[in-house]
Amino acid sequence: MLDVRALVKHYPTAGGEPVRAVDGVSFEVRAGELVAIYGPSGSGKSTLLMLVAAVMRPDSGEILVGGHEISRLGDRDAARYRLHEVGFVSQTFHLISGLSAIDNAIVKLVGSGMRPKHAQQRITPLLARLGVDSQAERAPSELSMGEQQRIAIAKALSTNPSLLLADEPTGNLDTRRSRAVLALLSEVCREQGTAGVLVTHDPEALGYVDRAYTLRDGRLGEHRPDDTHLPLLPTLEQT
Amino acid sequence: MSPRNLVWFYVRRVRARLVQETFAAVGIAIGVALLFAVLVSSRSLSASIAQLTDGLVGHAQHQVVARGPHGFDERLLTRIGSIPGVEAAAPVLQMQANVVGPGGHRVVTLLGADARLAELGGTLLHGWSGGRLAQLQALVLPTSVARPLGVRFGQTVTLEVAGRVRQVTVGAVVGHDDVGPLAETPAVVAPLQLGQQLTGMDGRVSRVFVRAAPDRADAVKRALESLAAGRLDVRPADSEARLFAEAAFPANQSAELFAGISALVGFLFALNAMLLMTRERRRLIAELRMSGYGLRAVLQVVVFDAVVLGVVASLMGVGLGELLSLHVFHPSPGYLSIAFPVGNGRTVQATTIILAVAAGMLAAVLATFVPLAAALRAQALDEVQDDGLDERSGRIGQKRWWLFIGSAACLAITTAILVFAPGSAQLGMGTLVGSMLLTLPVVLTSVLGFAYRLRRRFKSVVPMLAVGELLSAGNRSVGIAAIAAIAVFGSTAIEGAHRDLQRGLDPNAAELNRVAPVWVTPRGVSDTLPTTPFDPAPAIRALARDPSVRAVQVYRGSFLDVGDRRSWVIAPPRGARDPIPPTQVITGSVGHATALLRSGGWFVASQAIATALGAHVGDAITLQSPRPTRLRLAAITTNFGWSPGTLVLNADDYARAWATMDASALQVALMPGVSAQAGLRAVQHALSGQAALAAHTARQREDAARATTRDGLSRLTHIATLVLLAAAFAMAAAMGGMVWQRRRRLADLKLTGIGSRALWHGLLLESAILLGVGCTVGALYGLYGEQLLGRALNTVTGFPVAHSIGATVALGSLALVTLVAGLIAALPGYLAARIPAEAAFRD
Repeated sequence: MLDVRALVKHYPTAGGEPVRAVDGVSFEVRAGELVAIYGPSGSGKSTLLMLVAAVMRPDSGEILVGGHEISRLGDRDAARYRLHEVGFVSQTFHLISGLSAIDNAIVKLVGSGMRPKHAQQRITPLLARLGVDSQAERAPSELSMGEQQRIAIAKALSTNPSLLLADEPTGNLDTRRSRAVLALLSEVCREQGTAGVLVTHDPEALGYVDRAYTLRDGRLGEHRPDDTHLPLLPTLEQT
Repeated sequence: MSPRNLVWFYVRRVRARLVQETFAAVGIAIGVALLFAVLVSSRSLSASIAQLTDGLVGHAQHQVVARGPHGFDERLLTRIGSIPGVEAAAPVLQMQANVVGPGGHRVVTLLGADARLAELGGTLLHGWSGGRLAQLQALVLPTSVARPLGVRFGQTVTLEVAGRVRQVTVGAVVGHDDVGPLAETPAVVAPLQLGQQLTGMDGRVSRVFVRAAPDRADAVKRALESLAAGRLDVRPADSEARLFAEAAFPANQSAELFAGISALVGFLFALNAMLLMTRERRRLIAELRMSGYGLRAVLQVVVFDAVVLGVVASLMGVGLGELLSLHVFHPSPGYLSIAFPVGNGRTVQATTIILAVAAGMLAAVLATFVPLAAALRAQALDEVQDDGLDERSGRIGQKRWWLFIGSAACLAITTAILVFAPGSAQLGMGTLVGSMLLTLPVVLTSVLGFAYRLRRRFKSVVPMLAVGELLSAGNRSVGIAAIAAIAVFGSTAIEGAHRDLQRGLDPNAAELNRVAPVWVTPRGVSDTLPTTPFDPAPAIRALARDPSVRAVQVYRGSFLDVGDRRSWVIAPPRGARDPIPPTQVITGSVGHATALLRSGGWFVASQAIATALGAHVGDAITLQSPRPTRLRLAAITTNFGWSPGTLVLNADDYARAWATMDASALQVALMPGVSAQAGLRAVQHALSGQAALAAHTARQREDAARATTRDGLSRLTHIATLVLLAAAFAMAAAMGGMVWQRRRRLADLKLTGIGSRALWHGLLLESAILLGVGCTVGALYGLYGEQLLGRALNTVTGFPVAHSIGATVALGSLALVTLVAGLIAALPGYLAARIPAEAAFRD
């Protein structure tokens, strides 16, 4: 589903020596599979995610989603790609407090041209699946953190995306809620046949994914169980 | 916290919020600037009169003053000087005149005086010895007159005065170093004897200023009154300033009221900018408290913020106000210069600066402390652990009924003022603005609530985003809509009342002048109201020979001081078509009053003059004219636009009461079939030997009268326009700031696939909703404000006001604010909507 090949992204610096944020990264994620990119802060995780989301263009390499190259898309096509093909979940939920929970969940569907009433009908089973259907007409400020995150996930999955990108989705949650969300993401990917990429530095997240890679200094490696302590000392590692 | 630490802390924080801090400072500065400029403009005219009065009267306490333009016999001076206790007495001849030089012409006050005036201690003749002044045989011009006319010492100017035209040498040009602020007044001095020759008033003076021994002042006053014998007035030496204050009161009152509205707009701008920073400020306060700072330290930080903001903004405002005052609100004496020696010099008083700066500081303190109150109420931990959501919505909804009740109460008070006490318009405007600001949140939340219910009916995501964001923004949305409302309210009320006033004055100008197709008056702009006397016989003889002329009638008029009011006396010929302007009668019948006026022994007075005289229709009173005369009141009218008040009697009664056969104007009736233009040419030809007289058609005089009143009222239009523009920019800036702050969330929406165009359209829709609601509420309240101001102007000033509903003004203001603010706000919206989705990944 997602095929990343020899991806390179460098950032120029004032000193002249560019930062190699993503340095020849290749990996593949199949439909229904949830893969973790595990690494410390500054390792290039977010840059990799931005490249896959077509938010920025790589210096070289290819990103194929469903066989289509997305790394050279123009702004309009990139937006369309994110609207229809990508679901994005992050640690901040970015819900619009003036809208109800269900309105927030259908923003993408309505943005893609669907009538709000139809969008509502379509999202309701997903909200039920996520356990927040009873909260649908409530304002985000009336929901718990976990419920807000589930609304954000519903929004991400509302368009049946082929790709789910999750950037530290449990960063703002306690352990119990983190586990619930991770289990949910894994389950949803499997059930909906969605390829999922989970960027995290939380070792606990690795227990919920099908495969994991470690990213350090822009280079990707197969994750080994004894790597889990590395992200805890990123500064020391880097120095 | 030590001052050093406060500064250190402030400098570091201000870097992070420079844009918002600038918004707030600019907002306050705009309010301060408008307040400052309007105050300078309105106070400069009063200051001009006060300076001239001080320069003239020195230490004199009393004056004996003539009731008419012909003055009184100067030999009275000897008798005044012989009154026990009189230390000094100085005669002054005073008359309005026109000075013509290479650079144009100026209306001036010609003062004939001698060295005795200097003995009173005034600065006008400071440094001039008696002999030097007497020998001069020339005019002394202040720089404010000489410079624009382009004349210098030794050159000759043309003086048009009392129906005469004379060439006079300029004997001296005096500046600030010679006579202080008097250099800015329009006072032209001539030796007394020369002045008498120029005006044809040999042996006569207008007034005598008297300085009495301090312990004999009352006795001297009684002796002067006895000497005046009811034919002259005995008044305080500085009464001219009081008379002017009464005359300028309506214009100054309205200007200061409107300046208050301007300041309110500026304050709302600042408050709005502060609201944009509320979250940051609350977090800062919460973090300080979490770090162990006590309430005192928090207050120190906030007060320091307010002081810095207030000082910087006030200084900016005073600078901007100075520019406005120089280039937009330049003091214009307008029609008042006909009756008062008022110049157009600018005077910046210390109290004006203090008042403007105090208003700026107050705005800064209030704007800073509103978020503080909210922050102190909140739990510190909640603020530090902010959940990323916007302001909590729904608070306004909970208070809806209280807001509605408060608004209704304010509106009820306004209505009571409108009906029972229209003179208290300032309070009424305050309660009306209060009602509007309380109504606005209710209307806005209702509109948003309605839009929220409709949000799922649209196929586009744009309405959903716009409504959601506006509901999220809470108080900030209300703040922006409030600026729109205030702007349109102020503009509609001010400009609407201004137009009503102008519409009321226009027919009056027509009715007063259309009684004759051609008028002959002494040359000079000071005769828009014909009040300068001249001998009519030569002109009547010349006109009688012209075949185009059917008849010539003598019109008389002047000013008469009634209490503190310098009333305008209008004395049309008995046979005039409409001696009383038909639309201006308030009490009594036009037809009956006209018949009585023609029969003689009757007069008509404006409301304020009737009140000052204590007269009702039908009452007989003794008019304190040069020869006191008993007349009966036939009707009560408006004041025809002359704010101190008017008196109308027939020309023959005037001749008896003023003891003169002089005319102030000639009304020329033309033969059938002769047009006004042809008649004008014929009259001008017939008067070719009378250089001092000028002829005009009724239409020309009507236009001149309208231009004069428009000039006097132009400040209102300037204020209304500036309020509108300032508010439009304020809103644009506030909306821009609000949008700019949301860029991160816009980036998140872009990450979910919402395109730039949809985001921009959403932002435009937000602006349109806020502007639409704010402007509509402002326009509706503005129409009510127009009625209140109109009634106030009518009641307090006696001006003829044509009451109407200024829908055109309201719609125009609404369209202008919406367009300007919408267009300006569209740019930051467009730029913000183009934020790359990549920004969503930044902290």
